[in-house]
Amino acid sequence: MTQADLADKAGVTRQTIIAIEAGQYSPSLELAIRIAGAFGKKVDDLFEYEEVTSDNIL
Amino acid sequence: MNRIQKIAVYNLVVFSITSLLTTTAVIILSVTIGWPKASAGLACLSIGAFGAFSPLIFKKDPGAVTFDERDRMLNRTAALGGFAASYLWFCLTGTAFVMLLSPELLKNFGLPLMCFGGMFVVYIVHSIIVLVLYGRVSSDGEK
Repeated sequence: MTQADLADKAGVTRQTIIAIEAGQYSPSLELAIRIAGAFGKKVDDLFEYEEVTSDNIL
Repeated sequence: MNRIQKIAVYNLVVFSITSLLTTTAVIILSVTIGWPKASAGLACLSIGAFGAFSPLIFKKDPGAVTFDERDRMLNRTAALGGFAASYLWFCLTGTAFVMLLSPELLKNFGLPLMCFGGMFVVYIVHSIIVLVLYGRVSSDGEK
Protein backbone atom coordinates (compact mmCIF):
# COMPACT_ATOMS: atom_id res chain seq x y z
CA MET A 1 0.00 0.00 0.00
CA THR A 2 1.41 3.39 -0.97
CA GLN A 3 1.32 6.50 1.20
CA ALA A 4 -1.25 7.99 -1.17
CA ASP A 5 -3.50 4.91 -0.86
CA LEU A 6 -3.28 5.01 2.93
CA ALA A 7 -3.97 8.75 2.94
CA ASP A 8 -7.08 8.20 0.81
CA LYS A 9 -8.35 5.41 3.07
CA ALA A 10 -7.68 7.37 6.26
CA GLY A 11 -9.13 10.59 4.85
CA VAL A 12 -6.01 12.70 5.33
CA THR A 13 -3.35 14.23 3.13
CA ARG A 14 -0.21 12.35 2.11
CA GLN A 15 1.89 14.90 4.00
CA THR A 16 0.19 13.86 7.23
CA ILE A 17 1.04 10.19 6.61
CA ILE A 18 4.66 11.22 5.92
CA ALA A 19 4.76 13.25 9.15
CA ILE A 20 3.36 10.34 11.17
CA GLU A 21 5.91 7.91 9.65
CA ALA A 22 8.71 10.35 10.44
CA GLY A 23 7.53 10.63 14.04
CA GLN A 24 6.92 14.35 13.63
CA TYR A 25 3.17 14.24 14.20
CA SER A 26 1.12 12.25 16.68
CA PRO A 27 -2.27 11.41 15.16
CA SER A 28 -5.50 11.79 17.09
CA LEU A 29 -7.10 8.64 18.42
CA GLU A 30 -9.72 8.82 15.68
CA LEU A 31 -7.08 9.00 12.94
CA ALA A 32 -5.03 6.23 14.56
CA ILE A 33 -8.12 3.99 14.51
CA ARG A 34 -8.80 4.87 10.84
CA ILE A 35 -5.19 4.08 9.86
CA ALA A 36 -5.27 0.81 11.79
CA GLY A 37 -8.58 -0.02 10.11
CA ALA A 38 -7.04 0.61 6.70
CA PHE A 39 -4.52 -2.15 7.45
CA GLY A 40 -7.08 -4.39 9.16
CA LYS A 41 -5.09 -4.18 12.39
CA LYS A 42 -5.60 -2.90 15.93
CA VAL A 43 -4.22 0.47 16.98
CA ASP A 44 -1.83 -1.29 19.39
CA ASP A 45 -0.30 -3.23 16.50
CA LEU A 46 0.70 -0.05 14.66
CA PHE A 47 1.35 2.55 17.33
CA GLU A 48 3.26 2.40 20.57
CA TYR A 49 3.46 4.98 23.29
CA GLU A 50 6.89 6.05 24.41
CA GLU A 51 6.66 7.63 27.83
CA VAL A 52 8.41 10.97 28.13
CA THR A 53 10.94 10.90 30.95
CA SER A 54 13.83 13.12 31.92
CA ASP A 55 16.14 10.62 30.16
CA ASN A 56 14.57 10.78 26.69
CA ILE A 57 13.16 14.30 26.64
CA LEU A 58 16.21 15.72 24.83
CA MET B 1 3.95 21.99 -1.82
CA ASN B 2 0.30 21.76 -0.87
CA ARG B 3 -2.47 24.35 -1.38
CA ILE B 4 -2.02 25.93 2.05
CA GLN B 5 1.72 26.42 1.47
CA LYS B 6 1.07 27.96 -1.95
CA ILE B 7 -1.45 30.39 -0.45
CA ALA B 8 1.06 31.25 2.30
CA VAL B 9 3.80 31.99 -0.27
CA TYR B 10 1.38 34.09 -2.33
CA ASN B 11 0.21 36.08 0.71
CA LEU B 12 3.78 36.56 1.91
CA VAL B 13 4.83 37.97 -1.47
CA VAL B 14 1.76 40.21 -1.88
CA PHE B 15 1.82 41.67 1.62
CA SER B 16 5.61 42.05 1.75
CA ILE B 17 5.62 43.93 -1.57
CA THR B 18 2.68 46.07 -0.42
CA SER B 19 4.39 46.94 2.87
CA LEU B 20 7.66 47.74 1.10
CA LEU B 21 6.01 49.92 -1.57
CA THR B 22 3.88 51.78 0.98
CA THR B 23 6.88 52.50 3.20
CA THR B 24 8.92 53.67 0.20
CA ALA B 25 6.08 55.84 -1.13
CA VAL B 26 5.45 57.51 2.24
CA ILE B 27 9.17 58.20 2.75
CA ILE B 28 9.63 59.62 -0.78
CA LEU B 29 6.47 61.76 -0.52
CA SER B 30 7.39 63.05 2.93
CA VAL B 31 10.74 64.22 1.53
CA THR B 32 9.32 65.73 -1.66
CA ILE B 33 5.95 67.24 -0.66
CA GLY B 34 6.09 66.97 3.13
CA TRP B 35 3.43 66.21 5.71
CA PRO B 36 0.46 65.78 5.89
CA LYS B 37 0.16 65.30 2.10
CA ALA B 38 2.67 62.44 2.27
CA SER B 39 -0.05 60.31 3.85
CA ALA B 40 -1.35 59.91 0.26
CA GLY B 41 1.37 57.23 -0.01
CA LEU B 42 -0.93 55.03 2.06
CA ALA B 43 -2.88 54.50 -1.17
CA CYS B 44 -0.29 51.81 -1.97
CA LEU B 45 -1.93 49.72 0.76
CA SER B 46 -4.68 48.96 -1.75
CA ILE B 47 -2.26 46.59 -3.53
CA GLY B 48 -2.85 44.29 -0.58
CA ALA B 49 -6.34 43.62 -1.96
CA PHE B 50 -4.69 41.11 -4.30
CA GLY B 51 -4.33 38.90 -1.24
CA ALA B 52 -8.06 38.26 -1.39
CA PHE B 53 -7.63 36.41 -4.69
CA SER B 54 -5.50 33.59 -3.25
CA PRO B 55 -8.41 31.14 -2.68
CA LEU B 56 -9.50 31.73 -6.29
CA ILE B 57 -6.02 31.27 -7.76
CA PHE B 58 -5.24 28.11 -5.77
CA LYS B 59 -8.43 26.11 -6.08
CA LYS B 60 -9.16 22.90 -4.20
CA ASP B 61 -8.82 19.62 -6.07
CA PRO B 62 -12.35 18.21 -6.23
CA GLY B 63 -12.63 14.95 -4.34
CA ALA B 64 -9.15 15.10 -2.80
CA VAL B 65 -8.52 15.68 0.89
CA THR B 66 -6.82 19.08 1.09
CA PHE B 67 -7.23 19.90 4.78
CA ASP B 68 -7.04 17.48 7.69
CA GLU B 69 -6.45 17.48 11.44
CA ARG B 70 -2.72 18.19 11.10
CA ASP B 71 -3.38 21.14 8.80
CA ARG B 72 -5.94 22.40 11.31
CA MET B 73 -3.36 22.16 14.12
CA LEU B 74 -0.66 23.96 12.09
CA ASN B 75 -3.11 26.67 11.03
CA ARG B 76 -4.21 27.18 14.62
CA THR B 77 -0.58 27.67 15.68
CA ALA B 78 0.05 30.06 12.77
CA ALA B 79 -3.12 32.05 13.50
CA LEU B 80 -2.14 32.36 17.15
CA GLY B 81 1.31 33.62 16.12
CA GLY B 82 -0.25 36.06 13.67
CA PHE B 83 -2.63 37.55 16.20
CA ALA B 84 0.08 37.73 18.87
CA ALA B 85 2.24 39.68 16.41
CA SER B 86 -0.65 41.99 15.53
CA TYR B 87 -1.30 42.61 19.24
CA LEU B 88 2.36 43.61 19.60
CA TRP B 89 2.02 45.79 16.48
CA PHE B 90 -1.03 47.63 17.87
CA CYS B 91 0.62 48.16 21.27
CA LEU B 92 3.88 49.48 19.80
CA THR B 93 2.43 51.63 17.01
CA GLY B 94 -0.39 52.89 19.22
CA THR B 95 2.02 54.02 21.90
CA ALA B 96 4.52 55.48 19.43
CA PHE B 97 1.93 57.32 17.33
CA VAL B 98 0.12 58.86 20.28
CA MET B 99 3.43 60.09 21.66
CA LEU B 100 4.97 61.27 18.38
CA LEU B 101 2.21 62.35 15.99
CA SER B 102 0.02 65.41 16.04
CA PRO B 103 -3.77 64.82 16.31
CA GLU B 104 -4.20 65.57 12.59
CA LEU B 105 -1.44 63.17 11.52
CA LEU B 106 -2.75 60.56 13.91
CA LYS B 107 -6.15 60.71 12.23
CA ASN B 108 -4.97 60.88 8.62
CA PHE B 109 -1.87 58.71 8.80
CA GLY B 110 -1.57 56.89 12.13
CA LEU B 111 -4.92 55.14 12.30
CA PRO B 112 -4.99 53.81 8.69
CA LEU B 113 -1.40 52.60 9.07
CA MET B 114 -2.20 50.92 12.37
CA CYS B 115 -5.29 49.16 11.04
CA PHE B 116 -3.97 48.05 7.64
CA GLY B 117 -0.50 47.39 9.04
CA GLY B 118 -2.02 45.19 11.72
CA MET B 119 -3.84 43.17 9.07
CA PHE B 120 -0.66 42.79 7.02
CA VAL B 121 1.30 41.72 10.09
CA VAL B 122 -1.28 38.99 10.74
CA TYR B 123 -0.99 37.65 7.18
CA ILE B 124 2.80 37.92 6.95
CA VAL B 125 3.48 36.23 10.31
CA HIS B 126 0.77 33.61 9.64
CA SER B 127 2.36 32.80 6.26
CA ILE B 128 5.88 32.58 7.69
CA ILE B 129 4.78 30.25 10.52
CA VAL B 130 2.83 28.06 8.07
CA LEU B 131 5.87 27.75 5.80
CA VAL B 132 8.22 27.02 8.71
CA LEU B 133 5.94 24.38 10.24
CA TYR B 134 5.27 22.63 6.92
CA GLY B 135 8.91 23.01 5.89
CA ARG B 136 10.03 20.92 8.84
CA VAL B 137 8.31 17.89 7.34
CA SER B 138 8.86 18.66 3.66
CA SER B 139 12.62 18.95 4.05
CA ASP B 140 12.85 15.59 5.81
CA GLY B 141 10.13 13.40 4.42
CA GLU B 142 8.46 14.53 1.24
CA LYS B 143 10.28 14.89 -2.06
